[in-house]
Amino acid sequence: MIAELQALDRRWLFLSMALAIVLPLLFPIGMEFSVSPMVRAIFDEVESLPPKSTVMISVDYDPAAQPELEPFTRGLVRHVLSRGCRLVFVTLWDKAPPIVLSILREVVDGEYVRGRGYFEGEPHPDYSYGDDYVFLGFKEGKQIVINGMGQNFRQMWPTDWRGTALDDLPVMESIQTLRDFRLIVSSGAGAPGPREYVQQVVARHGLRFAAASTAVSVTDLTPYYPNQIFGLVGGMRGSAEYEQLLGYAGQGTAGLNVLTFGQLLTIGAILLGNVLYFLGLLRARRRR
Amino acid sequence: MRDCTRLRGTKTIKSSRSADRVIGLLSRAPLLMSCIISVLPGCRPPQVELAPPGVPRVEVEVQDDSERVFLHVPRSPDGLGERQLVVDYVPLRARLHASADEDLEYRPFLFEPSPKSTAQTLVFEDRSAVSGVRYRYVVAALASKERMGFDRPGALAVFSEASPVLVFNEIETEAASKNRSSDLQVEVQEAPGGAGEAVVLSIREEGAYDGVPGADGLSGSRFSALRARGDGPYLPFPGGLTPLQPNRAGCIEGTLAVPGPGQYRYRVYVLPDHGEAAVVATVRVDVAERFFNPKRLAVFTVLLLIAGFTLFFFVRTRSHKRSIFIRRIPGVDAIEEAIGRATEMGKPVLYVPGIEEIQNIQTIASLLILGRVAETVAGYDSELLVSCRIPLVATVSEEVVRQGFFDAGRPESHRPHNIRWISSEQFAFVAGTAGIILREQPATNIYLGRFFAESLLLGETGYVNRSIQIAGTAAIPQLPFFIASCDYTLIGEELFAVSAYLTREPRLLSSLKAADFVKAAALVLLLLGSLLSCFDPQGPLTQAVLEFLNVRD
Amino acid sequence: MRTAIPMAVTFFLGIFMILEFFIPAGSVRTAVSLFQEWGLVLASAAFVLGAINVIQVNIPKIRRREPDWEYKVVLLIAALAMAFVGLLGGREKHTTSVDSTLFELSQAYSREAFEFLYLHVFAPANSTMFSLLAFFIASAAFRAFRARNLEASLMLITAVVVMLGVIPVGEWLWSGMPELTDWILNYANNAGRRAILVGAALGGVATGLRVILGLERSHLGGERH
Repeated sequence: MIAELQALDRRWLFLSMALAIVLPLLFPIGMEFSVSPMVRAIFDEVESLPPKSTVMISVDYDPAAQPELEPFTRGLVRHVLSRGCRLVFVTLWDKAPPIVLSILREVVDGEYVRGRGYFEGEPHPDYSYGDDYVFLGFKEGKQIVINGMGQNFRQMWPTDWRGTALDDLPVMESIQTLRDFRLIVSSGAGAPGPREYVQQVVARHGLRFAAASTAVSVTDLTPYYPNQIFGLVGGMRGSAEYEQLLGYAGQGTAGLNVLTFGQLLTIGAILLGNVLYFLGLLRARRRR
Repeated sequence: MRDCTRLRGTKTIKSSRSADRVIGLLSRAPLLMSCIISVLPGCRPPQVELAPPGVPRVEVEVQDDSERVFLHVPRSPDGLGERQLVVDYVPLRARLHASADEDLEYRPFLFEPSPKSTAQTLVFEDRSAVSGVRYRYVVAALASKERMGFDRPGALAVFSEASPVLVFNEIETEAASKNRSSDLQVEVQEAPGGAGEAVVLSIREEGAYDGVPGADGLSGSRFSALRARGDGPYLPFPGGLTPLQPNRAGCIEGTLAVPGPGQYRYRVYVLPDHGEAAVVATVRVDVAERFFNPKRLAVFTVLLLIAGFTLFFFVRTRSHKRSIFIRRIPGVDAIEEAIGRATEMGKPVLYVPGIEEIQNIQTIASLLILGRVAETVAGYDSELLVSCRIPLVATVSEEVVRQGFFDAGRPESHRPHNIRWISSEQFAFVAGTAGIILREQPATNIYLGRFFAESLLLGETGYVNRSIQIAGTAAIPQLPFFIASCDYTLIGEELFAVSAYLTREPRLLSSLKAADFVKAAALVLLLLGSLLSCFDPQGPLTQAVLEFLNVRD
Repeated sequence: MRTAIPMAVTFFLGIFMILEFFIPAGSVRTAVSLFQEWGLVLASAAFVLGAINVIQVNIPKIRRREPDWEYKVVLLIAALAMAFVGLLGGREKHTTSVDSTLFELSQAYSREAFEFLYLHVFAPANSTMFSLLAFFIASAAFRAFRARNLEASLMLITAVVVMLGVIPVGEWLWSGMPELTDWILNYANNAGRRAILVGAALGGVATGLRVILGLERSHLGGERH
């Protein structure tokens, strides 16, 4: 029996993991959880933003990291919009522009402007592209771009993603350097991402900077909290916490359910592996 | 005496005689003046050049019903001469007084880009013109040398022709806003770093708003600046004439590019809603090009120490014929064993040099090891597969492997097609490499270099294939995955020691020893720093150490 | 001579790039950015070599009908199709018109085949590969996380605590679990990371110097051991 279990076909584990992922998605369980100070710091900062202040969000992830980072990014956009602030999106990842466009289409235009979803019944038809929000597109160059943004923002991004000059975009009127943004958030899955922002511009220009990262990379950023990064969201757990602060259960909360069962299964696998290991040792000793 | 002609309604527009003379001169020489503010930094001294002909003439329109003045500036699609692209148009204004022979002083003023602008014509609206005052306008075209998409700072300011003088009807003027120059503190200093490329200009209200976040500060006031280089005239410059607004810390602080080392004077104006811009202050700064950044002294010391120790150990081992002790690294010992096993099984060896760019030091270390591995594989007359994500890494890998086979005396066994570029897309690369593992079934997989999320995917696929797996990376988040899925894992610095460890050559081992000594020094410094910051945080020694290490809170 | 020239180039450029880090003068930086631009051009040109490599590796296998040759056909067709739509329609639309609404522009953009392939082929495939991690973590945990000795036991316990700490169940079991997790991440983990980081950084510097100073020349060949 022990030998059989030790040689367990790993496909059984795969099947269990598939169930642990799919079932909580189909039958969500509401679980209570606390909000870490790192996440709350971002929420409080957005709450304190005066209306019409400009926030920059750097969307630095690809579709692979979307499940982990998108719930937070969308939550943050909703929160910033609810404060009546202006939004400037940029990305340093070549695969991110379609992701940003879908956020603009679905959250900014679909929800806030038309008064659906999170903003059900509260349309804001005056909130328009160019006047209140803008997507500047993707720029190749990694750290060089980040550094350049600190020196002269308009030189680094002379146009938006459609080629419209920044001077023709009222939302960019008061922006000369990164320092002119009231808040900068990088939602990033790797390099270039939050770490590069910290190394290149945050300390040098004294920026108010927050970050979100995948759970596996969050340990890369914790050394910068709270001095350089005043708030940090890590993976699905962080996204779920932000959603809880905003008062809704979205993809992040659903993801946390999945994470819970996935982690429990992994812990179960570790325990089972160890029990079998020690039973095997015991049996070997008895035989001797 | 004012020479006016009534035109329409209450407004009159006519040039004065003196202005006519000026305009006459201008029409013969279409350029008022031009000056190169910048050339390639540090390469050429500044020169004065005439702007090319054809700089557009500015037209001025005064609206009937109000005091609104519009400046029409034809855009210059072809730029201003060779490689001079216009990046900005900046209007300046001079107030004309009764005297005909006065020197005009052009000053910035509060303007706004008008929605009337078209693709051909840029329209500015003067928001601060005051009735009863005659003005002359000039528009500067700020040009920039563009190269590879990155603008050079500074560049050229070309003035368009002066516009006709405007004479408003005699209407009571509104009082200009309060001149705030008395309570403002304007400072300009060289930007940190010493590159000689930028200055930091700051305007703050004395005492009251000392950089406190959230303070209201100077909000409500708008400022602008002109710059003079050496004894030259005050000219507009990129970033200086867009009205400067206070940041969230309640003060104005901007990093402004300068075209190169030299002496600069900045004249800062406060722009009232109506009336003349008042000079707040004129400040001076010397921008010098420095050839050592003192903030990097600590890094320089570390570098010198490593280089010095390397030389010392190298010379010592050569002269004393002593061998350098280096501890056993089981993972490296296993490499040759694993290659031997692959040969016995008649299966290939798979090598993945990480997924980072060629300039990453982990990739470089991995490529150095690849040379040794290729040589060993060639020695066993086995087959080596290399799977790369970056095309340049694949190209270099092929050269390195070819050299390895050549060094082993088996150049004919090298198969260039075994060094493969899969895809520069991370997960496509993983899928391709996993495919190689499952289809070509290498007996040994070696993953050395910088890895990201693919570490576990590759490790587990290799496990399914029952390959012997040796991994090594300095990417800390990936270490647990490699440790869990591979037989041997080289942690952090071990990756950089492999090449030297495999050859045991004194000249390579000496650099390992040097790094060890510097690490020991770093440990002592860490300990000393901890003790000092615990027991004497404000002491002179603590401050000196912090200063040397350039450590900020 | 065969190795001397590359070594000299490495030496001079390497030393120059090191010194550049310490010399803030703008003129030096101009030269460095020129070298960096050369590097970018070289790296871009290598993509052509990469594409040639893909063709050279796969076409003969298809021609010889080697095992799994069908996959190679799929690979080549997919690569060609993506390159084609990427070159023709993948670039974002550039228009100076500010009159068109975002919705109209998005509609125009989504019509592009590139976005279709991105959303319906690339994105799901990308996510699928990444999500395999979940399955592999379970199997690796079952197989490898064994309390074989003291170090392995410590690692195992820490891993379980951190995993419990990030899910609500951990908090439900013991309210102090998230704090304990944070403590492990911020102190124990950071201390270990920094130790590895210091060693790796010095190792990296030593490796770089070895190459620049010409002590390491295996990559240039001409050595027999």
